[in-house]
Amino acid sequence: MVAKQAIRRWQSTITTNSEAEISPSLLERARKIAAEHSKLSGANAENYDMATAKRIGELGPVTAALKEYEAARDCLTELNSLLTDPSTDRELRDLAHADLDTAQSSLPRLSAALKTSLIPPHPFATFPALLEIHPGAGGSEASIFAHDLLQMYISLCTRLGLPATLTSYSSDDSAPGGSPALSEATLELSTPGTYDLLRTEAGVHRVQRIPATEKKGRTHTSAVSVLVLPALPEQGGGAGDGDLNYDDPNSDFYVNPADVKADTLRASGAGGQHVNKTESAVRLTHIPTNTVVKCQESRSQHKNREKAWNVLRSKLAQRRREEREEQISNMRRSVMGGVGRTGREDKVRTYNYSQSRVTDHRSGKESLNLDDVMSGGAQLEVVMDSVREWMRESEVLGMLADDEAKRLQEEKENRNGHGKK
Amino acid sequence: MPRLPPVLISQAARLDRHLPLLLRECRDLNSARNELRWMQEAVDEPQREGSIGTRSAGPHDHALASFVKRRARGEPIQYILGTQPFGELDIKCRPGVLIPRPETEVYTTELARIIQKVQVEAEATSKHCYIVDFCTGTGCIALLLHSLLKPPTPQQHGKFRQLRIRGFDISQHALRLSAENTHHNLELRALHKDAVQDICFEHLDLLALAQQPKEKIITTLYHKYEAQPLDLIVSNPPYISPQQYKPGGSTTKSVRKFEPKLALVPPDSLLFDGVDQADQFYAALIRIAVASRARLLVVEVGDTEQALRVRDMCRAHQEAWIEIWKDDNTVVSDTGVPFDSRQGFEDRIDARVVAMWFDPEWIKWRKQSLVRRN
Repeated sequence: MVAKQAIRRWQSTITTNSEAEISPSLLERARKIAAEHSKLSGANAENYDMATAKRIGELGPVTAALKEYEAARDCLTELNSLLTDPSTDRELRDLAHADLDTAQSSLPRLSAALKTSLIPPHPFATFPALLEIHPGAGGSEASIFAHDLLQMYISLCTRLGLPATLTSYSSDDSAPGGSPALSEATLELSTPGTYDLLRTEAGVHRVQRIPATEKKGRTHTSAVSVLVLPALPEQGGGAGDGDLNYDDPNSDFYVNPADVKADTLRASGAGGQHVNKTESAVRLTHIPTNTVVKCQESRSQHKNREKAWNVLRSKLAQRRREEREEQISNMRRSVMGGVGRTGREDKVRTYNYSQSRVTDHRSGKESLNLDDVMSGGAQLEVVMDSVREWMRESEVLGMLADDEAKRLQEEKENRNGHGKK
Repeated sequence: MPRLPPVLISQAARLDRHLPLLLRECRDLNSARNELRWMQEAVDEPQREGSIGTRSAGPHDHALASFVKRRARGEPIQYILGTQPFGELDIKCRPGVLIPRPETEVYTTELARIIQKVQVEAEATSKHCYIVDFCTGTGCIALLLHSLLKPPTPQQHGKFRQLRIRGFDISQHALRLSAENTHHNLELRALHKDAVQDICFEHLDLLALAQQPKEKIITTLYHKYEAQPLDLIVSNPPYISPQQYKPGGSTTKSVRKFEPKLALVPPDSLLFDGVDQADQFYAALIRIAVASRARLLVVEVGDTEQALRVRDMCRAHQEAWIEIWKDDNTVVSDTGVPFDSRQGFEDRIDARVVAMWFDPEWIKWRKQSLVRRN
């Protein structure tokens, strides 16, 4: 009963909180960070330490955003008290009114900035990206649309000046009508930070259109899934700390070689001197998770193997990350419904050809310029930006849920404590 | 060979005009696309871009068209492009010398790992390593072993202060090419600079040497390095039988038409009685390994049946620890099962290597490390 009330109370705070407001728990979080920041800055002024300096750098944006937000809010309080004070003369009152407007209008922006600064950066945000495309339900129409999506992302990259390499492409030879179709493709973006850019694209993309292969003019619905993985530098960070030390079992990117079965793919039958297959494809299977990675793009078996290992590391790291996120979002869901994340199985976007409309199901953003989206134009970016904004908001809601869960837990413990007495 | 479905050909044609021709030899669209891309990369500046299939006509199109034409006639892409990547090496290839195979790369890499470990773990003090590669061809095995045992980058310190690798071949073409490959990879910095002194390629008729008395074999193999025991003999000798080589046999047309028979089929003058023509070189290699007291003999074989025959030939000679390595690097060790048993090969993955361990210390180490591995 208490819990239910708490949810209602909490939800009401969310709804009554205008954009300008920020929930007390988030504010408290920001203040704690600011306090730590000033403490560490003081400590480092006397005794410089690299790790502390790094942490100060991380806390800096929150501290700055909080300072600006609090300054604006204090200013607002001041102005309000001026206005309510009957002794304020008229001239000053007019000035205060004018200032009040500017202060009030800047507050939403500052509170949004504060919220955003509180969101910890995604652990893979600075990584380059791998974008994998797999056709889902819908037969060869799905393979054809998978190819269209690939072209869309290639065009986007070209337009943004981001180097993109097609590191793997298997065509779907069974597609009728000779339309280009793919059964699997991987696009590699080498620019750091592209993981964060493409993060919005992971999930199931649905297409509704009359396929070229359809004779009776019926609209079909097919699905293509897009995976976004962090791409890894060729060599690990070596002995250093952090995630990029592949030999560190605590790293997300650690893969125990004993868990991996490697084989070179070759059609069955005689090998060795009997044949001279040019293909030097390498396939790695991570046995505990049954994750399979194949690489065949280079003439060099050695390079294919290195590449396959990197992709396997990325996949497993992504998987570990998703598992953790799943745990967090389950926990959040227990406190409040609806907030979570979209996993790889969730439908994220629909491309409706007959209405020339693209709808993103997460942000609710609609674009009526399908052609521009499909050619990787500015409209695609608009949709992606809306998703990024949605992700930011869900993240803030998630943080609130975490705080609420913590508060409930404390309440419960207190109550139990009283009960014992 | 089954006919290509017309749909596939028309689909290929829509993607690129060269693809239908390449399909003749590649047989599926993905490998045809890969090969076309490799040829494009060889004629153009290396292009790193995401465009699929289509490209504009350029001045190099003529060269590309002739590459495609040659490939469609079955000529190996390695002879057309002139090289084959092998580990971190770039191995030059020319008609008259066998092209390095991916399977060879796999077991050579594993072999280097073993040699490194056995030297460290079985005899902690050894800083010497002496390896002989018979039928070296392009020199790919000898060179890859060097690049792995004494890596070119200074931070990865090689375990061996003294590494000696001798590659032997009967073909003058092969000897010229293997020497070229040493220098080519030194220029690419894919080999340690010591490779010039450490590796040498020499002319030798292996079958003739095996007929010589034991003393002659010893002086041939040890005249420069008497102080050192011979650690490893490795060989990828000709092993295809005349039946397998005939049209309709397991040897593909492209291999028969373009690669040297000398490197594929043992000569029909049978020097070892009671030994199949395909297995002649193994008989020679086992005799040489035993005579020279080599610690380990590792040979490539064509299939599981041949691996079992080689195992039995070796058993007849000496108490040795015999292993068969499959294409996926798994090890089937000598369990003493009868001659015709295919136990351990139920997964239909072919046997690729027979490894014969002669040195008691090494055998002890190997058995322990196999137990640890499982």
